[in-house]
Amino acid sequence: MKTSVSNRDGKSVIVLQGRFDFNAHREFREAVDQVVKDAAHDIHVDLAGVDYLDSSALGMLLMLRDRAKGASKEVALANARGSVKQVIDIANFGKLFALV
Amino acid sequence: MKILLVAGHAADAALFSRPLQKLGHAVTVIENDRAALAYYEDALPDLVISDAAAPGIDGFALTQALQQRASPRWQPVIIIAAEFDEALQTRAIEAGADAFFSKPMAISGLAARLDILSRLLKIQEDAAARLTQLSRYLAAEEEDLRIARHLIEHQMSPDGASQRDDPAVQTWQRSCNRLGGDMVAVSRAPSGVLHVMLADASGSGLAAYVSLLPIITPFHRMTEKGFPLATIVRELNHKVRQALPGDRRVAVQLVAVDTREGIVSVWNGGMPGAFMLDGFGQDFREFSGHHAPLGTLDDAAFQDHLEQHSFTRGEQLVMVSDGLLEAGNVAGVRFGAQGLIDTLVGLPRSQRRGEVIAALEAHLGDLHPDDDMTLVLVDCEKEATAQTAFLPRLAGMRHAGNWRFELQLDANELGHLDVVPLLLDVAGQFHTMRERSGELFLILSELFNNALDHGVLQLDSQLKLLPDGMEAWLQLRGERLAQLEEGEIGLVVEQIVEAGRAWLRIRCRDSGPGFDVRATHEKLEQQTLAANPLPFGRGLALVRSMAQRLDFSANGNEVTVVLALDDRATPPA
Repeated sequence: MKTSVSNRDGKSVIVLQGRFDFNAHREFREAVDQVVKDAAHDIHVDLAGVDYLDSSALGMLLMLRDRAKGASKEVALANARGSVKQVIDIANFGKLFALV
Repeated sequence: MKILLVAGHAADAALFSRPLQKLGHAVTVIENDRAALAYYEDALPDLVISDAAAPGIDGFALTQALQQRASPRWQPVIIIAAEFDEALQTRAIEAGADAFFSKPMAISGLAARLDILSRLLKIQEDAAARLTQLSRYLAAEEEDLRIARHLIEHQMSPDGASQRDDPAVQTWQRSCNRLGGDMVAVSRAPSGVLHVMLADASGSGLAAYVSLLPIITPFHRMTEKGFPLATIVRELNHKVRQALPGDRRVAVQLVAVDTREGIVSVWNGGMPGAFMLDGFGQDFREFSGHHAPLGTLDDAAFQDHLEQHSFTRGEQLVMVSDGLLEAGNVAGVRFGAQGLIDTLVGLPRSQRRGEVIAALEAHLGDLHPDDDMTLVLVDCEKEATAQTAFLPRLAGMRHAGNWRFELQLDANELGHLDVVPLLLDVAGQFHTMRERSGELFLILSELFNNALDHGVLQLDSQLKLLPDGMEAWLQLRGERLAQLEEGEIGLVVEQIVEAGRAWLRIRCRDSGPGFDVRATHEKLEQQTLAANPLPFGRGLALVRSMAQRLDFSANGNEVTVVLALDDRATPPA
């Protein structure tokens, strides 16, 4: 998976591309470390380029949410599509994250 | 013309050469045989005019010597004698001269003869030029065929070994020319299902062989990846349409022999019908289904329906190309399907190939076949195997057109293979599931990862709760995977039909010790996905909420998931 972090409209955005599974753990954690330290209030995870995600990716998103909460930040999942959106819906993540 | 004039007397020479030069010819005068031959070899004149006899000159011997040197070309020669003599004229013609004149003679007569010879020479030149051109074409074609043959042979066995050497398959081929349009390819799927393809491209030679190129590699690659026959033939049709000119077709017969289930499936596009007979050469069963040859229909109109027959022990499938059936004898009578059946009746398997060849040779005699002839014999032997215990068959669940995919990975493969592309392939290959391949892939990968992490590698998710637990988990996982010496994961995906509805059943079994099934079940019932606060335990719940059923075997090392392929759902028990 390719991970990059940027600032857009006053938000921290984590842009993910490719296979979001346990192999992406390290990169994703580094991205989380970075956005949690960032001054911006909101964090967006841009899933437009993600081909699929599995259950460990859901775990990682929850880890991000916990860390963000500790830093008083809100996390939104953006641009999920196809099977990625399907998994997020099935997992009922709409209750935990803003879906944009 | 360039003329060599061999004349013993200077006066004669002058008498002839001047008018000839006036006619536009280049004339060289030589006074004896030996010098004439030496000059001839250097200068290669178009025409030689020689005295019949003069000091140092024997016109007849000279003519013979010239014709020898010129052979196989024709060398025009005219002999001129001092006086007319019928015997001399005959000698001159016999020696290889084209005309005989005697003195005195009119130059006009000689000029007329020169015109004729000149025209003949022109014809000879043109013919020689055409011959050179033809032999250049021939050499170029032979080179093309050599390259084509290499290409085809390399594609037939991409890994160097001849995959046609499968113990269950016997073939025999006789080509009508150096390269015909018939081809046999044999490949084994990971599940052990045998795929055989007999193809016959329209035409022969290079064009026919090149037409086969687009289908050879996909046939092997898709078989090796475990694609079912119907998917492969659909893709081959697509490839032929894409790669070949619109008027090109490839007749093909594809066969899948599933020795575990005892089922042979045939897709026949434009080939003679295959048939199956038992071990005693009796009980002929024909495959009568026909489709259009590859390349005829577009994707939407294409039909991938397979014709199936079951077998038990000792059966053999017989496939031939039309060249074999149409082979005519001296009286023009074809060998025919009846000739083939008559030959095979009552024969044991071991004698069939030899007897068919002998019968064909007797039929053809010295005649050359007009088309490629190919015979393929495939043994159909149902396994009496314990392996099927892993795949209990539910009565009545299999029907024509059903498919199954099976994947068995051992320790070595688990340690080195990136299974994600493999599972993606599996998920993507099922036609009915195409829009839902993401869902199917997720189920496959969750089941597979559970089987690997917990079953085979014995990793405990509690580890993830420690600080940096995820890193520790991943590191331990990598270490155990690298050191893995035993362990196995089996994955079976099959379509089943129950009560007129289609279901997908996925089973995943690992060689691990299993787990407490009841506790896991209870957890699954109680927890909702979003409410799970732990960094693990989401996979099965995810699968559970997508599928209609999720069951574990008693000790927990096999899990079965049933997914509805249509939306009306009450899953089969």
